[in-house]
Amino acid sequence: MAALLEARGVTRRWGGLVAVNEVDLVVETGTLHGLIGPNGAGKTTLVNMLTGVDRLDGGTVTFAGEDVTGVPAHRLAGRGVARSFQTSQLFEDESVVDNVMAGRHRLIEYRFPHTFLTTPRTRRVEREHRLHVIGLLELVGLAEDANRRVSQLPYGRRRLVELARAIASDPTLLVLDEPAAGLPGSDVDVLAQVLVRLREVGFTVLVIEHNIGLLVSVCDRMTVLSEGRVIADGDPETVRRSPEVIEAYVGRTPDA
Amino acid sequence: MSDQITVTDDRRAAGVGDALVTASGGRKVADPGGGRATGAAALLAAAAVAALPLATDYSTTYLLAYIVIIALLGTSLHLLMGLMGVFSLGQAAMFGTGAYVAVVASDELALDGILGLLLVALVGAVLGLVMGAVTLRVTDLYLALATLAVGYIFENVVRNTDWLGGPQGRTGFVITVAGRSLDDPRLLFWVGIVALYLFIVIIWSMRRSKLGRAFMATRESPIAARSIGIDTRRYKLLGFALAGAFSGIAGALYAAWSLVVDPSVFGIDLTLSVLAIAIVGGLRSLPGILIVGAALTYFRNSAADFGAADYVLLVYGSLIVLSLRFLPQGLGGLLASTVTAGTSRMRGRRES
Ligand SMILES: Nc1ncnc2c1ncn2[C@@H]1O[C@H](COP(=O)(O)OP(=O)(O)OP(=O)(O)O)[C@@H](O)[C@H]1O
Ligand SMILES: [Mg+2]
Repeated sequence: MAALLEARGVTRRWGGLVAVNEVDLVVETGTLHGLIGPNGAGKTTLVNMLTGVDRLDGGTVTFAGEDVTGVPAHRLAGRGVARSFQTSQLFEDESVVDNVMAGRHRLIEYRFPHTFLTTPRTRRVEREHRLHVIGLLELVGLAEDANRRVSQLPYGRRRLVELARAIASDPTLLVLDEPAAGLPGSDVDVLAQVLVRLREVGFTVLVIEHNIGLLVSVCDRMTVLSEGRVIADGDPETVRRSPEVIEAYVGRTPDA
Repeated sequence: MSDQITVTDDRRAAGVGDALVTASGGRKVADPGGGRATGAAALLAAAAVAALPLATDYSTTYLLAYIVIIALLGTSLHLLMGLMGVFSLGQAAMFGTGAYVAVVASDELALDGILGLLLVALVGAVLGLVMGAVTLRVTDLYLALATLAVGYIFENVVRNTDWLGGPQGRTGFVITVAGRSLDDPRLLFWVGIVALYLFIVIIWSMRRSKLGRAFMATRESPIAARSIGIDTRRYKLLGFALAGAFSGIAGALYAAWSLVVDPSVFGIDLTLSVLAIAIVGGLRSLPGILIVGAALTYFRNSAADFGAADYVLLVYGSLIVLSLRFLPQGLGGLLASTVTAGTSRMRGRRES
């Protein structure tokens, strides 16, 4: 299988702290890849660099065979890298539908003057995409909330909006930063189903979690980060039994 | 055209994600822009407003023309502050530049008003671009101060440029449109209303297109906006350019209205009074801004007739304080929630 995303020697320093230290990470096309590690391991910092949100202090990133080291987020997104955020980055004052519609930005094309003057063409294209978005909302169980303002939704639902918005851009690579954090049980089930479904239809997904148990059952491959370094990488069962991983999680609860 | 489409028409929007959502067929999608009735009502209202000067006397028409100019400025403020969330006080610089460019275009270049206004829009847009570019990296208070400073700089430069009339400014110019002088308040009003309607249609269209969502996303969360492929800088520049064109046109019409143009057009007073209008009307609500703009401008100009001339600032100030306290979304927010409540009540009645 071909590598879709390949990070080599990626490094990020915060003052004296090396948050991400010479990390290698390969995400293969069509896989569901788990990135796990205890709090503060550097997971968010790493994906911020991979998605162009943050700069690199060292190393290279290759996406779909091209060097994308230092390419800014909006360009990467244009090439098909979508992500969700650990701390909510929703468009608070807008409806759920509009939040998710924004995710389709790169796919919507009607050109001048249709952007500035609503024409039949603008309407038609908008409707097509809105239709797609509503289908997506049904998939993540948000259909009922479609027209509600995001700020009125409970926390768990908001996480799902963020997920739907990332999926809406039909990404080649989908990066999810702790999508399950704070979700109530019922929504965790929805999330797990969506992840499985995403893999079925051929998405490539990189999911962050600090909880090993949750991902072992659904992932094809796992990378474990601890104190900025990769301490294990491979298929979920092997990774889970590796002594380094057990040690990194000593004193914490590995399975929850 | 049919108002609803089915999934089978949806091929154009196909991508990887399509496999995810093709399952349920024949779903219906509501047009988010509101019904045909709303559109017809808006058209009717627009026509009625445009016909107003046919029924009013000279001085009232003169006031109406002024109200349209204020509305144009309000529209550009709505775009920058409401849709884009950029707290710019640069309108004064754009407005003043528009006024001077219009005068120079007619006096020195002998351009007809139509070409003159196009030139004004172009210069305004370029100025907007420059202001946007200069302030790309700053936000909030710094942006407000930086844009405000541009107005001061321009005022100073113009005050010291003899060619533009220096501190006294210029007068005695005639701005014409299609050969007829804009000193006729009716003509001025109509030219203004055409520009205003054009701006409204543009803004209204943008809000329903990817452009509006890009502005919204940039306002609400620049990081998230970039992560879904929105080049936030590009949209900021675009918004500034449009606002520059809009404000420039307002300034040009103001020059025609006041028959003099002097460095005070770069002053902050006008920006602040339009800001007051936008706050009371609701930064995010164009109808709110237009209604409050008309009402407050009318009040301000007729205050003497009610014997309230000394209380104008008191009224403005109180309205701002009251609306910030009780209506943070302004009159527009109140209108929107009333409409929402009304339609859901109607829907409830229909369903039961
Ligand atoms: N902007 C920043 N400035 C300084 N230090 C930072 C910054 N962001 C992260 N860090 C530090 O870098 C380290 C890694 O943080 P990061 O957020 O990447 O961890 P994480 O694995 O995502 O943890 P969590 O599971 O809590 O989300 C932490 O020690 C954190 O305090
Ligand atoms: Mg994190």
